[in-house]
Amino acid sequence: MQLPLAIEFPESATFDSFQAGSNRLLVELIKKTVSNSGELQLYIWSATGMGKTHLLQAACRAASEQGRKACYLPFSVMSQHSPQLLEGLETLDLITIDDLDQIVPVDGWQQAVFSLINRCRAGAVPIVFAARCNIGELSLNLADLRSRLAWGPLFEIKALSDLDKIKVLQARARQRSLELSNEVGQYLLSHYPRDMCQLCDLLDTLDKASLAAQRRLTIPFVKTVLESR
Amino acid sequence: MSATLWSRCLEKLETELSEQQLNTWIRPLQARVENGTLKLLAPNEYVLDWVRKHLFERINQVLKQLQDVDAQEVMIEVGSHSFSAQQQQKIPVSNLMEADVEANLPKISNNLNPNFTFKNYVEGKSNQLARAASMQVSENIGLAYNPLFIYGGVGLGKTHLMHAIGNAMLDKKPNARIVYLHSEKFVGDMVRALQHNAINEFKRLYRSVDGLLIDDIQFFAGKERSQEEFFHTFNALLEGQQQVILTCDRFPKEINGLEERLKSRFGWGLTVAIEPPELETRVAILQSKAEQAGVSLPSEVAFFIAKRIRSNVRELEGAMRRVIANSHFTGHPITLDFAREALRDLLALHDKLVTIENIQKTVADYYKIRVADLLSTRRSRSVTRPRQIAMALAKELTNHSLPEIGDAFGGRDHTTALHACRKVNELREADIKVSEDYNNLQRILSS
Repeated sequence: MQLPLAIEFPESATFDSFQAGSNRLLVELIKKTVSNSGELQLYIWSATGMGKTHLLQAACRAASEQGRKACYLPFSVMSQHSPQLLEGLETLDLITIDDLDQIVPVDGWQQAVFSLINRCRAGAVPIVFAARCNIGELSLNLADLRSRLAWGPLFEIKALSDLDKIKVLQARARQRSLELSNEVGQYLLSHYPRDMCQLCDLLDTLDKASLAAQRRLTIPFVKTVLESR
Repeated sequence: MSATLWSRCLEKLETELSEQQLNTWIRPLQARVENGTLKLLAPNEYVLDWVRKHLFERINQVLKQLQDVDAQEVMIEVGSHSFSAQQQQKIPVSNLMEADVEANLPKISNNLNPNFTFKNYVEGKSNQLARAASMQVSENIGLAYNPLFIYGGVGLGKTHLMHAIGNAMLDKKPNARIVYLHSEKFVGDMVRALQHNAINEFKRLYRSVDGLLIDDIQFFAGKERSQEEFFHTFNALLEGQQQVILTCDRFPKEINGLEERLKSRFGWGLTVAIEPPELETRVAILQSKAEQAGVSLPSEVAFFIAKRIRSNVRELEGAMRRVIANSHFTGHPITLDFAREALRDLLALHDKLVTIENIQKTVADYYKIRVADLLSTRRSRSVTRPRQIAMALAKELTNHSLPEIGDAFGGRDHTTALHACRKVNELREADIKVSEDYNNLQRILSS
C-alpha cells in the first residue's frame, strides 16, 4: 500500500499567493509542467527576492497535492554534500533545483546535473531550474550541460509593478490581521529597498512592533519603528 | 503499522527538522507499508546513508512514542514507486526483451526513444554524410561500418541520429538486441557490478547484444578501469560482427585522458562529423519540430528564429517552445511581430554576444593589449596566447568556419586557426591559468 500523505511543502508557498503581475505565462507553464502536461524542462532566472523559491516550492506543493512525489533542492544546501545526492531522483515525479548560480565548477556537480537532465529526459520526468542569472552567466565549464539547460523555455521573472508589490504586502499583512494602507505601502517602497524579500522582512518587523505597541500602521509609526532598528 | 501512524510521524518530524533538512532528506523519501512493515524508499545510497546515520533513530523513536511499535517494523532501502515510474512501466518503449529470456540471454532494456527516427531527422549539408553512414549501418548491422563514430559539438543531433539508427535496426530486425546508453551509465553499471561482485554478468550482458550504442564517450576520459572493460567489450563485439556506434564531442584523437589503443580502434570503422547546421537546415529543423508539436510555424518566423539563434539545436528548440507557449497562453497567432516580442529578452541576451570583433575586443581588454596586436604578425608570447584563445573562442561561440576565423585575424590561414583551437584545448587541460582565463572570457562573452 502506498502512503497517501507526504510531508507537505510550506503552506505559504502556493501559486495563489504568488502575485504574478506580468509573469502569468510563467506561472501557467509551471502549473502545466507540474501536472506533466507541459514543458519537460524550464529555466527561470531573476534577481533575488522576485519569487523563484516561492514558485519552485509552490510547484512541489501542487505536485504533492496531486499525489506526485516532488523534491525541492537548492544548491545553497546541496553543494555542502556529494553530487551523489542527485542519483535516482528521476524516480520522483517532479524535480526542482534552486540557486543553480551557486553550482561549483569542481567536484563533479556539473556532470551530476548533466546526467540528471539526461535521465529525466529519458523518463519524461519534468525538471525546473532557478538561478539568479541567465545560463550564459552561470559558471560552467561543461558545454554539454550549458546546452541542455537551454532545452526548454527560459524565463526571466519580471519585477512587479509598485502597485503589485503593495498588493503582495497588503495580502501578507491581512494574513496577520494587520491593515496596510496604500499610503504606507507607497511610503515603504519609496524609502526602503524594493526587493520583495526585504520588504517582507520590513513587514515582519512592523507586525511585531504594531502588536507590541498596540498601534495601527501609520506613516509616523512606521517611520519611528524602522528608524529605531 | 498504519498509514495514519506514518502521517503523524511526519507531522512530528516537520516540527523538529529545519526546512533544509526536510527538503534534502525527508521529502525525497517515499514510503509504503508491506505486510505491516513500513518501508522507506530513498532515491540513492547517499540519501539512504545520511538518513540512516542522522534521522533513522529519531524516526524510530517518534514511531515508538506515537504507538508502542517495535523498531524492526521500519526499514529503509534504495528504491521508488513514483507515479512516473509506474507510468513508465506501462510504456512498451523500454522493452525488456522477453524472447531473450527463453534463449537464456541476459535481460536488457534497449532505452531507445521511439520519437527519434530518420524520418524526423532533418538533413542538411552539415550532417549529410553522418546521416547517410547511419542509414547504411542500420541496414547492414555489423557489416557496413564498424564501429561508426559520430562526433560534433553539443546540441547538434548526435543523440537523435544514434536513436534513429537503433530504431531503424529494430524495424528491420525486431528481435535484434540493441542497447542505447550514455557512457556514464556504462561506467555506473560497471562500478555497481564490481561492487556486487557481478562483473562476469556485466561482461556477458554487454557482449550479448547485436548493437551497442554508447553516447558521449568523452566521459570515459580519465576512467581507466572503465576504459579497460570497454576495450574488451569493444573487441569482443567487433570480432562477433556485432555493431558498435559511438558519439563524442570531438575527433577520437583529440580526446584527452583516453587510452591510445582505444583512440586507434575507434578509427577502424568510419568516423563522421556533424557540423553546426546552416541557416536553411536550422529553418527546416524548426519547422519539423513545430510540426511534431502540432503547431504551424510561418516560414518568416522560422527564418527569424534561425537567423538569430545559431549555436545549437537545443537552444533553437527552446526558443521555439517559448514562442509556442506565449501563443497558447495568449491565444494570439504566431506572427513575426509576435515572435519578436516573445523572444525579446532572449534575443537581447544573444545580441550582446559573440561576433568575432566582439571577441577580439573582449580578449584584448582582458589581456590589456590592443586589438591591432591580435591582428598583427607579432609572435611574442604575450600576444600569441591571447590570439590563440580569441581564435578558439571564435570557433566555439560563433558559427564562423576556420578559414573565416583565420581571415578575421589578420588574414591568417585556416590551419593557423585550427592549430590555435587545438593548442588552447590542450592548454586548458594542462594549465589552470589558461583554463581560468578561457572560462572567464567565455562567461563575459555569454552574459
